[in-house]
Amino acid sequence: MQYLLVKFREDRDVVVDGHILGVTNRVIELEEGLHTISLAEPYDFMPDKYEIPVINSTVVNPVEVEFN
Amino acid sequence: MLQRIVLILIFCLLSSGCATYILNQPLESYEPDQGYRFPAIIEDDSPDTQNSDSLFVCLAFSGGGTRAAAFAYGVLEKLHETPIQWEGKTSSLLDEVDCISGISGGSFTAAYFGLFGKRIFQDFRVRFLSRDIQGELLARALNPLNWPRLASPKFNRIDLATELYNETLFDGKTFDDLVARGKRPFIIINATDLVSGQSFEFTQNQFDFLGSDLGKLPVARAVSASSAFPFLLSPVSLKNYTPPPEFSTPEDIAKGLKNYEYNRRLWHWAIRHYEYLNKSERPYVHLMDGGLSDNIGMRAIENEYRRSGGFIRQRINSAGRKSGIKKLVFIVANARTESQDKISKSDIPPEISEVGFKTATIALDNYSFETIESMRDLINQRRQTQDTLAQCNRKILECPSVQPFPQLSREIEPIFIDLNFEAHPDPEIRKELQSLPTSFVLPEEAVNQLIRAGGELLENSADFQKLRQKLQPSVPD
Repeated sequence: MQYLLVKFREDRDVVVDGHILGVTNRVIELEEGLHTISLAEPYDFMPDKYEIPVINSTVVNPVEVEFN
Repeated sequence: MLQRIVLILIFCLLSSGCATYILNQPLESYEPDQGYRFPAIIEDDSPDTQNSDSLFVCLAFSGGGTRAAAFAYGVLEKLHETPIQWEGKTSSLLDEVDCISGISGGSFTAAYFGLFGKRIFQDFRVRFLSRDIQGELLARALNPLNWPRLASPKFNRIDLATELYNETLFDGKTFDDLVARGKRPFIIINATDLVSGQSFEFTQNQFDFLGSDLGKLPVARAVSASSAFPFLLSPVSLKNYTPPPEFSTPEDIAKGLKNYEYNRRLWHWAIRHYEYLNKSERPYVHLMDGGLSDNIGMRAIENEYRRSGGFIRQRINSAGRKSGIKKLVFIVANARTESQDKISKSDIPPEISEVGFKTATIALDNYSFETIESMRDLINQRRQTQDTLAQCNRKILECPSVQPFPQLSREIEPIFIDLNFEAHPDPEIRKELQSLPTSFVLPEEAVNQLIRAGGELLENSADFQKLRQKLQPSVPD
């Protein structure tokens, strides 16, 4: 399994490949691979999504993305 | 007299032309939240108030005919007899079972419990375990009244089996009846797609790709497919319809198709679904015994654990919600047997029948072993990850100027319990269990022994003992 940290100014549900899969600012455990990462409503964030490979991560060194 | 024979022959020919298998129905509209699926994450307003998300229990019932069905029944019985206290409620561990994945013989027990709940403890022995299902099937096949139907290319031995299970065990219930119960466990009945060789799950998520409404299908049909042992029974056929216009490939499957470079396992899972959308190449799907692709039933559960859309994965990562897993328990009831080694004692090379049998079973046995170990590895990895993070953050506390690492969405306690005959402490009983055949008829004493073994092996499991201790109801002063 791999690890993802989605940074955002507040706690918000994280949407991975169309499914809610954790919250911002906490480490999300997920399957290795190319994933689409976005946030749940309201759509007040930029960019609208990331498409990134989540690979070669550990729980103390997760793949990081940030929404503003 | 001759006239009468001619008339009978004409009647037979006409009725054989009409005989056809139960056809799955097309899906009238695509609604991703409707139908036979594990419900989407909801706050605790489900009518199933007894079963929490926080203690999440999944069972895998292997194949192996009546042997597997009885062994699985013994496990259910023991869970039923295990009182627990969880989040202020007193119940039995059986009340906390959330999903059961069943293969072949194991799918009978899983489906019966899914449809009728605890009634299983009143009548499943009489209605299934003690019956000579094989003999009854043979009697139907030899009944001249069925011959005209069996002469039809669209009606086969498996259709007689479906009728038998539908009439005498599942009372004509369909998957809509499972939905109407509004209760967990979610039952996953697994078969094997004869073309791809991959596992085929009787869930609406899978049927969406066939443009078909699983709800209308008798549960007996799914169980027949799951237990359609090669050569003895014929395959179950499904029609692959064009899905309703509003259907679009779910995002996790679409993303999986882009994962050839990054995760071949995920890509393979996605392509396996996507291929059903090629309607011109695959207008029909033919299914056989689930044991051909996974004789344990654990792969369906593993997919729900790994995949971003999996109902287990979502509950592992759901932080800050009422719903979400705290304790995750997997129990595998594996009724595998070990045939006695006669080959090694002889200086003559084994006969072709022996070589044929070994060729058919060796790969499957190895795959089953790896299936269980793969899940055990996943559970250990999760435990290790949580320990590593906790240890690092404890060390960081010693340096007040350093920020701790972010927490995982949720900390869970994963438990994996693998039950098999090899672990039976009594060598005599172990030998007897190991020598039981894969068949749909067993002597009453063997059935009783298997039920006892299911309970005893669970009772003897060190992980189960720890779990039970933690969940033990407090005794009032």
